[in-house]
Amino acid sequence: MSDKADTRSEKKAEKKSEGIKSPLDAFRDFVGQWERGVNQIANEAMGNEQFSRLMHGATSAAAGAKAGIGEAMERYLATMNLPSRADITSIGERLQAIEAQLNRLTEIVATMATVEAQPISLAAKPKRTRQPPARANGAKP
Amino acid sequence: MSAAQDTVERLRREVDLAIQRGYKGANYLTSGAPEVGQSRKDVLATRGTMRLYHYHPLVDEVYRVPILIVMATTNRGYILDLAPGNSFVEFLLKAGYDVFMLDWAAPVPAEKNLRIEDYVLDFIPDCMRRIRKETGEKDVSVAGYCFGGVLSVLYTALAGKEGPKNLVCFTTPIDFKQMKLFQNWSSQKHFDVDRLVDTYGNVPPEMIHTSFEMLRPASRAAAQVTLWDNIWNDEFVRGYRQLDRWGNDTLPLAGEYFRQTTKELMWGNKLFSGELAIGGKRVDLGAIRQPILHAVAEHDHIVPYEAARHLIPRVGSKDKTEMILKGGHVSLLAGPNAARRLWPKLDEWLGERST
Repeated sequence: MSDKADTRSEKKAEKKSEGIKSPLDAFRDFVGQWERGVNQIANEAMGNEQFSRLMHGATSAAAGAKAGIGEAMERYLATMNLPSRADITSIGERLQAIEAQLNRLTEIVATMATVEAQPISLAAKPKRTRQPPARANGAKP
Repeated sequence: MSAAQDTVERLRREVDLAIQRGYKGANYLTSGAPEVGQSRKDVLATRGTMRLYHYHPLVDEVYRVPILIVMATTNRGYILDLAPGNSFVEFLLKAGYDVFMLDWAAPVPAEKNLRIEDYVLDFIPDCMRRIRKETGEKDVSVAGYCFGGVLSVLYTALAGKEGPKNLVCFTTPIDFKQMKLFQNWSSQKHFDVDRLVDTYGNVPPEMIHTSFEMLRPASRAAAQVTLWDNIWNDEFVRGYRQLDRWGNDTLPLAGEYFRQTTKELMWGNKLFSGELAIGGKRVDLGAIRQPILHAVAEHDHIVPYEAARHLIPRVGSKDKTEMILKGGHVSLLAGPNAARRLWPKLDEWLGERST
């Protein structure tokens, strides 16, 4: 998700404007051009319908395989009298639900004991009177 | 300096850098992950995937109106708090804001049924209620990043008087048809979203990560070459590793939420057409009357300007600003360029509206 490419090209532009050169500059320029070129070609290729069809064919096949293997494994584990991943997940979910209930109960108890009247956060409580610099200096907002 | 001396000096420097690359490269491979998200904070609430943080103020006097940052559901919030001196959160704290963040943990299998409604009508209002209680202030500003911006927009449009005092959006898509590659990859003709969600429950993070990487397939290799080139530079390596850690730390998406996003927004483009309904209520962008700032990036490869530019013209606010800045989807908001370009402008806009 990060956009290091933009930062890199901006830095290169800054370097150029400063007139700094090094023996590796040509290689760096080449890498930058290669990156832009490949990204552009790949984006064009990935923008067509055929790519979408192929990609989803593969995704669909992977999903199908996962479902098939999952079912087979579940049958095997049941035969061996062992819990499946789904069973463990289900136990985990129930534990989480119990934990959530406990949290809610704790909150209710805390409220009843008026503990919540105290600040929940440990952060210091600064004054809430700050003005933007322009206004604080007497300028009109 | 003569040409011969210049060449010798360059060669000497390259040899020196090559030695450092070898030595520091070995260090790079053996050292642990960089620390991120170091600003002091309290976890105010944890509810399943929802995390509400309150950062410790760094000044004695803060603005009256606190700010809630709503993070995108695909990524971790520490991108906004990478390291001391390179942190959007730290900047806001030092500028005198009382900062809260709605961050997300990976949804567990039991949360596969979460829908957009849960985020917009439950998680965000719950955080607003807690912040109001914590600060004693009714007014709260909301700032959403990427899809966190979409959720913030939906919340503000539906919340009426209970909504935020100010709304800030960072690179927030409205016209999903303009996200061309994502459109092609989620093409209704070929993408069986029901099968995907029914098989996996929650959408695996690898799938989300791969789709982001595929937008710029050569960039990872090029980034690694640049890393090798700069591996002698500790500051560069630190920044690279922090960003790289974050880029690889993609979250899974709740299955129903993904299904709904695909069908309603990617296929139906209903936020743009005005047909989107959340919890039975139609989302009218014109119902947003709050002061609003939308910051967009010139070179955003994830949310192009064409997808984001419709927000400001469509809201009903009188006080509305669109800010187009150099940078990409991430560098708009995080990193040294953001510190120079966006952060001071945002402070200027928000400070005036936070008293």
